[in-house]
Amino acid sequence: MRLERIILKSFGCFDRRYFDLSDGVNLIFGPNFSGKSTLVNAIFFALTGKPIIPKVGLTAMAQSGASSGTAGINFRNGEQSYQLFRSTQGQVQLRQKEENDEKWRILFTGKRSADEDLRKQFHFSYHHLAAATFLREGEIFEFLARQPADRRDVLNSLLGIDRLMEVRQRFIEGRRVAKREEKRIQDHQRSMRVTTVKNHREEIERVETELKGLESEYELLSGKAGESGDTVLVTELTQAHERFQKEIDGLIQERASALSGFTDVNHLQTSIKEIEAATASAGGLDKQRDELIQGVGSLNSQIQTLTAECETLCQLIDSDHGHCPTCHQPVQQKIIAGILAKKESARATSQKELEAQQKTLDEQTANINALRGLKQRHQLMQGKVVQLERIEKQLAKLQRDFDGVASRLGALQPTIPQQTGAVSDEAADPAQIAEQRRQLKYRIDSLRRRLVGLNKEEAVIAHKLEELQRTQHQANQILRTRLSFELACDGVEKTIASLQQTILQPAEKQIQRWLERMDLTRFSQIDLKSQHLLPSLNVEGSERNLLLLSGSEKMMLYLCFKAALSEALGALGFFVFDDPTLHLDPDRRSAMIDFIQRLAEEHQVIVTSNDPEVRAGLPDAHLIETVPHTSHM
Amino acid sequence: MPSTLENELGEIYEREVEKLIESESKYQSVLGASEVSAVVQAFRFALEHGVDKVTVQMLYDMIDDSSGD
Repeated sequence: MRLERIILKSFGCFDRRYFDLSDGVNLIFGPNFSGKSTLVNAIFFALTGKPIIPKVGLTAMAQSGASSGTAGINFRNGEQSYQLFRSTQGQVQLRQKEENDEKWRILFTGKRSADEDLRKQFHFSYHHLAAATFLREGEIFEFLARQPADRRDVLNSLLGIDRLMEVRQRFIEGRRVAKREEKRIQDHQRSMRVTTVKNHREEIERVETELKGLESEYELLSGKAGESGDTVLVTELTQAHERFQKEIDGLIQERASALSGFTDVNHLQTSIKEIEAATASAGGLDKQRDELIQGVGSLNSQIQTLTAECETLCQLIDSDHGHCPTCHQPVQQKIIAGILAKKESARATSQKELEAQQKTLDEQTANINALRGLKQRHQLMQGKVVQLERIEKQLAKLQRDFDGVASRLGALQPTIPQQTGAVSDEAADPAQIAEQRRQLKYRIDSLRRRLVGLNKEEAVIAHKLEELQRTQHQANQILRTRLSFELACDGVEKTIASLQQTILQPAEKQIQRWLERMDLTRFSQIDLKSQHLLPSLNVEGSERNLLLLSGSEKMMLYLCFKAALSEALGALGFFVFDDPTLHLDPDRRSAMIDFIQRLAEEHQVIVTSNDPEVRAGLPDAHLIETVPHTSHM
Repeated sequence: MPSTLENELGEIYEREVEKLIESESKYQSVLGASEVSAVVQAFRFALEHGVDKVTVQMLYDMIDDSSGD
């Protein structure tokens, strides 16, 4: 790459001005305050968008009084010519000269977002240019005084390591995600292993075999019993059959007890009618008895009265003086005796009549008592009739149920008799078979339930095993993912190491070569990596601090370092040195001029100076003179 | 970085990854060609598009998909 023209507009101390450059050495020569460093700054700003002097604001680079300044550079890269302009307000424009035409075509125009494109296309990187191409005033001491971390950042930027480290950081974050996922899956795996139970396959096979045997046995028994239907139904019907039979027997006994001497209900009802007829005919007994009782009472009264009169008449007859004891009148004995005889006769007649009525009364009372007994028996018999009717109804119903059950049972188990009555001895064998079948059925049902439970547990285990396998697959995958990210990180580390070796080792050799060319061979074993670009010197087996070198030695070493680094990084093809002989003694100044001339043999070199010895020492240089007050274009 | 190296960075990375696979048993026993290919592809992708535009999830998906094969 060759720089061809510097173009300025309201930039620094320049209003509108351009300066053509040539191959070889370009010497910008002029007194102080004539704008030499401004030109160096303009080139650096046009290429990088940043001022060469750190901490200087962009707007400060514009001409005093101007709102904005512009620095432009024409350069040739290969066969193509380009124009790059930057304003102090951040505008960028890249133009390319059309082939066979003098017109410029705008490639892009815009803000600083174009810097990445410029870096990729032309390697206009701030760090590259600052470290390997430009030498500004006071840079050596500033570089030496830099903190290791700053130099490391510069080194990383120069080697492109900063971008690699950013990529590595992304991989580290990815590895972190993978680790988290891996831990989650491992935890899940552990929880599944703990809860996994033993396999039930053997137990299931054992139960299935046993069940099969029992079912065969059951079928065999069913065949013996002549059954093909549901055994449960047969068992239930048999039980119902027995229950009905017992109930019927109970009712028959109750009916026999209720009849109590009667042949049947009709006989009982005939007797009831007879009793009803008897009681109806004996309806006036109570009235007759009451009349008799009144008659007996009246006769008793008459007899008592007659007895008292007889006793009184007897007393009159038996009196001592023949006079009435009450009125003291004389008593007529014969008259009184006649009256007494009549009275006693009447009393005897009443007595006889009383005895006859008493006998009739006793008979009537016996009849009445017999009638009451009949009535009670009538009521009892009527109750029995009702009871017998109920029993008959129940018996009829039970008989129907019994017949139904017996019929169904007979269809299933023909050996069971269908007629009513107690279970006969002939039914004992089927009942025994039914009992055996019932027990078998119970065991079969129990085993079936057990089998269902085992199969459910087995299904759960199978599901867990499947999930375990799936989780294992996920674990394997996440392991590969995590290791892939680790590999990616390690790969970046190795790439960084490889880049450092690829770039820094040749740079160290280049420094050595330049030092030999400049007769500064007493320095040896330069290590750029350990101190992050600071040339670590090992002189005759002992480490030397660069700060302890003389000023001119530091200047020469640093220039050699810059040239070597530039070549190792892929030299852009030009160097820009701002007043490189400042503070150098005559010998070192001469060495510096010699260094510039040798550098110019391979590269374009732009040098600023106000030293007449430099001008005299570079007689073939393209001279650009600056004066304190610049003229317009 | 030299322009020549800039273009070769992907190849340098691939070489270094292959060296690691051959030398490190932990990678050798688990990772195969598809994983190595995915790692290199993810590296090139990140470098080409810039980490500002490439998220961790993008890289994770690229690498995880290859691990699931």
